[in-house]
Amino acid sequence: MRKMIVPILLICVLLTGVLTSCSKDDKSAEGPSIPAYDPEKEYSLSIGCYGDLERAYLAVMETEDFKNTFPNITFEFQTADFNGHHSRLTTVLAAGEATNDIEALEVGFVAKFVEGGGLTNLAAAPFNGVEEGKDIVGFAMSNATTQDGRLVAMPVDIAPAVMFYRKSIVDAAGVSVENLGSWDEYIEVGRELLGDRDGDGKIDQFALPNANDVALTPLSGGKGGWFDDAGKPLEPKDKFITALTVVKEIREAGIDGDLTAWTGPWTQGFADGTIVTTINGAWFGGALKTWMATDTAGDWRVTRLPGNELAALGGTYLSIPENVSADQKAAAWEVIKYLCADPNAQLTTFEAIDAFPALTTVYDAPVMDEGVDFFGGQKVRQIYAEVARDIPNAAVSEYDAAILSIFNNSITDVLVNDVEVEDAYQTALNSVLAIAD
Amino acid sequence: MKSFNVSIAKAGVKIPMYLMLLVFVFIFGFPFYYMFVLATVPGTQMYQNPPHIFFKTSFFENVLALLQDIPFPVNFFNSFGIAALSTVTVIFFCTMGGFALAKYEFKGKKMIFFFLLSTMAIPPFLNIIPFFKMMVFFKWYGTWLPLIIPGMANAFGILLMTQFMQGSIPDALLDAARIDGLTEFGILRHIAFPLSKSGIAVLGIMTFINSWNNFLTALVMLPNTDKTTLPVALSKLFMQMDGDRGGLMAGTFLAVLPLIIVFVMFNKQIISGLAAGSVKG
Repeated sequence: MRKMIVPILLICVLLTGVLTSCSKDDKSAEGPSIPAYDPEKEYSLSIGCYGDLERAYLAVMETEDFKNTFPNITFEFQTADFNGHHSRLTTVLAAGEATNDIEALEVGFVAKFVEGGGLTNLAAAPFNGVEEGKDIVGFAMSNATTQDGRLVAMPVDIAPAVMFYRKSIVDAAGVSVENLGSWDEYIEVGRELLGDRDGDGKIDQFALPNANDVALTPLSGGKGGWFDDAGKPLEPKDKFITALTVVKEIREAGIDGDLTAWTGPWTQGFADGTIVTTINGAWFGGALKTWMATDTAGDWRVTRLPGNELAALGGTYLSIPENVSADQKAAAWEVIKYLCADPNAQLTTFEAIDAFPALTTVYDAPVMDEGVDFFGGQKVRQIYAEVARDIPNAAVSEYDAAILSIFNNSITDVLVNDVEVEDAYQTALNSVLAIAD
Repeated sequence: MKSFNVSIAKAGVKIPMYLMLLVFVFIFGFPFYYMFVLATVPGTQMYQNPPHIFFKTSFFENVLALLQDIPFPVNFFNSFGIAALSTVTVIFFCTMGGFALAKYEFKGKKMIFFFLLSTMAIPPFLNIIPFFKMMVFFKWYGTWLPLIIPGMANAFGILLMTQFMQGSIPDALLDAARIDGLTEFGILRHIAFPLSKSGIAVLGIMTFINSWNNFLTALVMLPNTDKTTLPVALSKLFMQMDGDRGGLMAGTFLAVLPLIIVFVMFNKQIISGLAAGSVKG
């Protein structure tokens, strides 16, 4: 048996060598070696995306302007559900491969791919993404920019966080949730919103689906901002203590339904009045309108977050994997530029799937000033735009994905395990220091 | 009187047992029933409270919506083709492997056995990155091959057949066949295969079900909706802005249907195979 071990080990070493050499077969091309995009040449591009993005981009591709701009490019889509798409992308990039020329990624995954690598730096020449994205809302650009200045993806849609609420229920309670000054005020109002809808003596109408929903709003949605200017993690401390305290106070006040997102009761809660207010990105209004709460049209309203907190909860970015061939990169970049920075594309995407534009120049378009029937004629797009413009910039680091995971554990500790806020913060800080010292 | 008492005593044991079995039937059967019910409910009423318990009338509307959302027949064909080819090849190679390990003595047999056993301890998702890299290297990306070839001679199948053949095929029978002049492959074909039908049925069904339900490999290896399998194509319908839950449930129902039919058709072989495989004769 021992005689066999040596040949087996040798085979393993040889196989490893072969596969390693494959990974060094780098097709990537950076900077000046990328040829100029040739409008006369035929290209075929593949786009990897999730959810409704394929439908939105197909709508853009059907427009005359797009057809006239890119008559020489054909497209193929690889679409999966949200988690499936990002799992696939993680696998492909970790293997150092590229299976699509353009890959969409949700903002929550940007930090993960900054950490893992594998995406082309779009800030470098000849892309010059920072210059091309000068009219894209600042926070979205910074959320895809690393601390050393690499731009790993371009923002195509954003999700400024707002509060959605059921006007009839809020009015019936005799309170207002418009422009509340703080989370403490929200908790006070939230107590008035509790109700027993079926008269069985148990509370079945809640101010908020889950206390967890507000945990990241004081932290700009958890994208970047985990370090202070001096590079110290989880500083300034007050910001993180506040986030954990708000979550704890909401749960202790009993105003949240402890409903898990995307479960049946959570989804139904928006339609049957179990949930009176909810914090989410602008895109959520589209989900309410199209399938989650269609019968409640006209009753929903939108307002800024308590204390005028500014955060983004969602948003899509377009990237080019490192190992896409140079020729394809040139064409892929032209399409990304169009989808992200052309008013026609941005407004078409918005109309198709309610994905709020990242391009600030369209915020003054007439459609942005129209009232929306689902929101009782309220000009909600103006609110989204105002919030988007005000969200502060925060660059991402390679540690962000891990820190977000650590901080989420602290939120769970506070909510579920009754850990004191200060202790939860200290545990999180120790864990962060262990990885990012 | 005595036999009456015995009957009562037997009933006293059987009734609670049957009641318990009924509870288990409900626990395992209700999710399937509820899935069928939801396939007939309009998409907008999917999460209605109180939930729908009985069938509604929107099944065909949901199926039509499904057909508009994804190329369901193409995905069904892909799933069926991959599952059928996987099943045939796994049965062929794993039976041969199992026969060799069960009925031949050769140097390194134990080492091979334990090596195979140890590979089952590695969680499949740990392999996905090197697996993906290998498939790209072989230029199999975007084809059915990554979903069929690597699993053809899998450890589970070989060990299952080894275990089964050790117990169900007498060595004397093989010796008699050799004396009668049958070749080794002839022994496999004319003696081992027929005597292992139950084991092969178990292996075949499990392979078919695993292949049919395989999500991650299909997701990573098959690039677009026209080329992919049902589970991946159906996942497109989840969490979309206009969330076609009706189409999703109708598609899930239609995707599960072949598995249920296969199980109902072969359940005797499966159960007898599992029972035979669990007792070393």
